[in-house]
Amino acid sequence: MDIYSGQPNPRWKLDKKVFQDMLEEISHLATENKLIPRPNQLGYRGLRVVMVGEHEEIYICGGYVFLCYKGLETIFIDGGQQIERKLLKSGIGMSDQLSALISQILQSLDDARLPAKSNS
Amino acid sequence: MLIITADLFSGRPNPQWLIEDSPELRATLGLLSSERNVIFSETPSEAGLGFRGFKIELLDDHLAYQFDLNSSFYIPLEHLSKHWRSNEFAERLIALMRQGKRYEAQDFEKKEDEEALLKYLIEQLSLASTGSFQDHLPEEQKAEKILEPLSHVCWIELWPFNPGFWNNDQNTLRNNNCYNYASNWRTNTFAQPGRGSGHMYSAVTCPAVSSGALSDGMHHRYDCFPDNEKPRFLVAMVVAPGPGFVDYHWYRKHKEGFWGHKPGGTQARNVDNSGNVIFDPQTCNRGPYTQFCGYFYGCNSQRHRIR
Repeated sequence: MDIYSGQPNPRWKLDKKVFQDMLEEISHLATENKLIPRPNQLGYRGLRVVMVGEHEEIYICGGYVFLCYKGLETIFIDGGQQIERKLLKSGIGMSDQLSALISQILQSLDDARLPAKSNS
Repeated sequence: MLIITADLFSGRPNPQWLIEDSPELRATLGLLSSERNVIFSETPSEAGLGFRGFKIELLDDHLAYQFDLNSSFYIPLEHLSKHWRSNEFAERLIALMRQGKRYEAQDFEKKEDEEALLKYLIEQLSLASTGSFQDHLPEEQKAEKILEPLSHVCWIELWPFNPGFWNNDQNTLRNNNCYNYASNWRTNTFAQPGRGSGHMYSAVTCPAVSSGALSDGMHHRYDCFPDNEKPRFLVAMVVAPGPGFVDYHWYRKHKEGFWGHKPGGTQARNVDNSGNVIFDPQTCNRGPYTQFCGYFYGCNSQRHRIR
């Protein structure tokens, strides 16, 4: 999880089935042709999935999946941030602290989807 | 023979010196002709107030021919030219000015004023080379000073913002965090306050993380470091207090007046979470890092100690 500035980011081992399902889902996503900058602000930025011993990575954030393979990056559209949510949920139960953090992030993703309340 | 104009004033005409032909002058022109990257055709557009550089005007075509130089050219100081030898040439030119004669000096200018001016130029050059600045205790805090052993003013170093050093190499980018950036020291270990000195923080709170950094050798602001601890950077620390999200973060002040930072393994930058250039780490948008813990000075032994 790409979130911290000072402390090392939390990480957990992804279940093989969750990983394969994720790859399957990504293969069905539409691609984005525009150049999308990855978030780099303070706070939660996204999730980085790396295979042990491999240089390739998958970065999931803000409704996009960045698949880096052999030096080439393909960007997919993660509608409703479904893949991001599933991956976040895979970390629940790893530790109390991580579970609390993930619940907070999931809540903030839900809040961001809600339409802004009117004052009138 | 040539005229050197020291480019430093805003309102008054810049002071000029007439330099007679001499072995020293020829040696300087010879070096200049072999180091052409320090020569500009005119004042760089980004030059601001203060000592900016020198205009050189050759008065006969023979010197220009011998050294293959234009009849007039400009030598900016290093911070404008970005050339590491610029200030060395500036020192040579000031030495020539000392041997030369003031040209078209105003009637009210005295000989001692000239000496003071040359001394000022040398001082400015020295400060520009080291990037040293005075960090003044604000007036309203001076009254409280008697309660603590703090100074009214400390010398610090402010270095130019150089994000490429941190961002261009993937290994450097990923394995160095905000504490590395604040210390301006790449360890590739995601350095933690206090780990290098054996007293790593045991809680992510302002006092605990500060204690780790102080153990590494940082000082609170206005607790001055001596010159032999250069570079002495001004840094600021903040904490995300939770619940849930708990972390710390550091910023470092740069020569340009703004603050730089590096959020974890992401790119170093000088903007906050709103995309605004950071001129005040206390008031900028810091996302969840809502507690401002204070300002500190880093120093050379501290940065060597971090792990």
